[in-house]
Amino acid sequence: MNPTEMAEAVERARRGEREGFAELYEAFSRRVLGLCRHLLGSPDAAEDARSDVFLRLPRALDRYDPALPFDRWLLSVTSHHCLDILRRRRLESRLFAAEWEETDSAALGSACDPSPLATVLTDEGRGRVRDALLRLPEQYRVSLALRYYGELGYDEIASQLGVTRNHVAILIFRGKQALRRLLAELDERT
Amino acid sequence: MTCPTELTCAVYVDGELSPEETRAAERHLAECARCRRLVAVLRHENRVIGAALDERAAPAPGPATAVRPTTIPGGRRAGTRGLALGAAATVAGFAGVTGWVALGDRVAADWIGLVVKAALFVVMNAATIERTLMTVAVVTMAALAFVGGLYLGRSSSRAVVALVLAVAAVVDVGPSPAEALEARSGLEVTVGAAQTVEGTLVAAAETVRIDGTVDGDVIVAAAHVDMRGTVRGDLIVVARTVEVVGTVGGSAYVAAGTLTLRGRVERGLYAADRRILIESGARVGGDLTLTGRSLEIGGRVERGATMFAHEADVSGHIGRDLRFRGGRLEVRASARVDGAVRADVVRASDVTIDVQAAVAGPVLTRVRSRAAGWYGEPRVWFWVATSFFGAALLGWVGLVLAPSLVLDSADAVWRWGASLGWGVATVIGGPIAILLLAVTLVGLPLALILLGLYLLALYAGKIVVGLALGRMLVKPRANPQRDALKALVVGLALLSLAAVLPVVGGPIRVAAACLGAGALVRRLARAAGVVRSAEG
Repeated sequence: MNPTEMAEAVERARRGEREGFAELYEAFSRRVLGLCRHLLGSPDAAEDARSDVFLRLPRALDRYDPALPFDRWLLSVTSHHCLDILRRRRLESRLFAAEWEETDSAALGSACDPSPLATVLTDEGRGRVRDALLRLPEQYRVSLALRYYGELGYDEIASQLGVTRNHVAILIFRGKQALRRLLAELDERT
Repeated sequence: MTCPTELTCAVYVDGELSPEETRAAERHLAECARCRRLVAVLRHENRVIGAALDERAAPAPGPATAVRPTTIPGGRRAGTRGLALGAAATVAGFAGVTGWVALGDRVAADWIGLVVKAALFVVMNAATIERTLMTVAVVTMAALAFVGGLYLGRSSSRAVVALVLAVAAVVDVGPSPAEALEARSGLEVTVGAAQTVEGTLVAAAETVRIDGTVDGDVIVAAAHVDMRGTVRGDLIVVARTVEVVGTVGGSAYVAAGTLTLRGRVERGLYAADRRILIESGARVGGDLTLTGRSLEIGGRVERGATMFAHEADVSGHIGRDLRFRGGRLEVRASARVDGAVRADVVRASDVTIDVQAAVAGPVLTRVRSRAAGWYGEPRVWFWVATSFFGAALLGWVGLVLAPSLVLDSADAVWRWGASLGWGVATVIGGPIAILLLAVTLVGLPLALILLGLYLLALYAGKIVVGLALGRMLVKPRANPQRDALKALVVGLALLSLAAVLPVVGGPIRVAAACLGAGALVRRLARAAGVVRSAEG
């Protein structure tokens, strides 16, 4: 779907036309489902979440600002919904909170001394990487999915997770480190 | 000059440094080769993570990934094997993706679930099935002994002896019922209202009535099934008419002429019936997957409904998406669908949705027509390619394993009268035999095996006809094996293309399957020595 078609479909959906919604559903439902699956970690819950997102779309569209690309906005709405679910699941609102605050930069390594695992992630075995992603702790999986699947910026992620922008950077950084470790462990085992 | 931290580099790669920081980082990168390398590695990692997350790029963790691109030691033969393995993996991948596209992942999951469940049932109840088979064998043998005794003896006293022996054999060898399993048969099997069956109930009868409670699963083959009580496990039924008024705690699998649901099925309902009626008070707690001629959904389905039907009439409440493929779909005023309606029909006018029906999601109607536009769909050519590759591979395997059988069958295609006769007999007789075996229940594993062979024969039919066609076109040269392979490829390519022609494509496909399967079965039958007696 090119940007003009997308804008037209959105416009029609905002006017309440069924075909507009149908087109949007057709175009984005798979991508929305993908994000839900990465964020919630279970296909079943993801299906429910997708249904909810599209069910609420007619009302949510009132808040949509056409200055933003629609797909970005939709994915952000989706992640909002999924994070709500995760929070409810946890019954603990400070899911992504502040243990990261005091992380000192020394522990993060300097570029002249890159971590030996830095080259572990390679193309071979996309499935392996995906499995490893699913086994990451929730906070890392969520951050990586929001950044690299939802393609949200750090600021957006920060506001969704309710943490500072610096925490987002560290969550993503740590998430990748954990991923490398996990893949290295898997390699050793095989 | 000190290098930035790895974290800073990672943030830079994500494009999330502030403008000043970005400028500083770029200045440093221009000078420091090590940092440039690090940045390149981090960029690459991001791409890898993005690709791993993006399921559209990698639809299924199929066997293609299982074949590592490593060199296999062991000279040329191993190389060929690797090639064959690679080809097989590719074809399997193709087929997997196509299946995925064609069926949609949910439907596939449902049916796979059903198959797995059936297989599990066979495995878990192997002992029971074996015992039931034993019983049948013993009874048959006893009957034969009795008849044989009568025939040979001609003396009433001997006949009595034979009868006594036969009965003794049954009583002695016949299985005693297992603890957790209750097997009942007769003209009418009834579980009374006050009765409780602990464990699984297996019943075969003209009429089966369950008014009481069954703690385990219920497996029934009958003409009429009337379920008014409670089944805590799954309900598996093959019958002419089935009426469920009570409660099924698990899932229900029903193959019947008519299914009427008035009660509750707490989990999924999977049914293939001529007519299915889910009345307005009924409730299905899980998914609903139905195949039938006419379907009426008046009750409440908590999750999605998937239907393949000639006509479907929905007036109840569907908790998720409503998917339909077939002739005519009508969603009535009282209906409520909490998800989308996806219909796959021949004409857009075949979908009627009352304006008062509450459909929360969009209504997506896909018109399945073979008009000119149909050929523009890449899906179609994907199918053609897949079916061609699959058939060619299987044909090749056949040529390697049983060359004379395959080639003789191909030649037999030209005796088309006899082949077509055998083919039609196979195509019609096969399902009847399978159904008969399945209904007697003891034959369920046999029926499954026969079903597999039946489908294989139909598929092989295409290959045989393709080969026959190719052999007509390709001139034989020195190497017969290579000739046969070439003929196979040429013939199958032609046949695959002919099969998607408008109007005649369908009949061509059916005729090829019939003709080829007939030729194959006839050749097999001749090998078994049946043909001469059958054809005079």
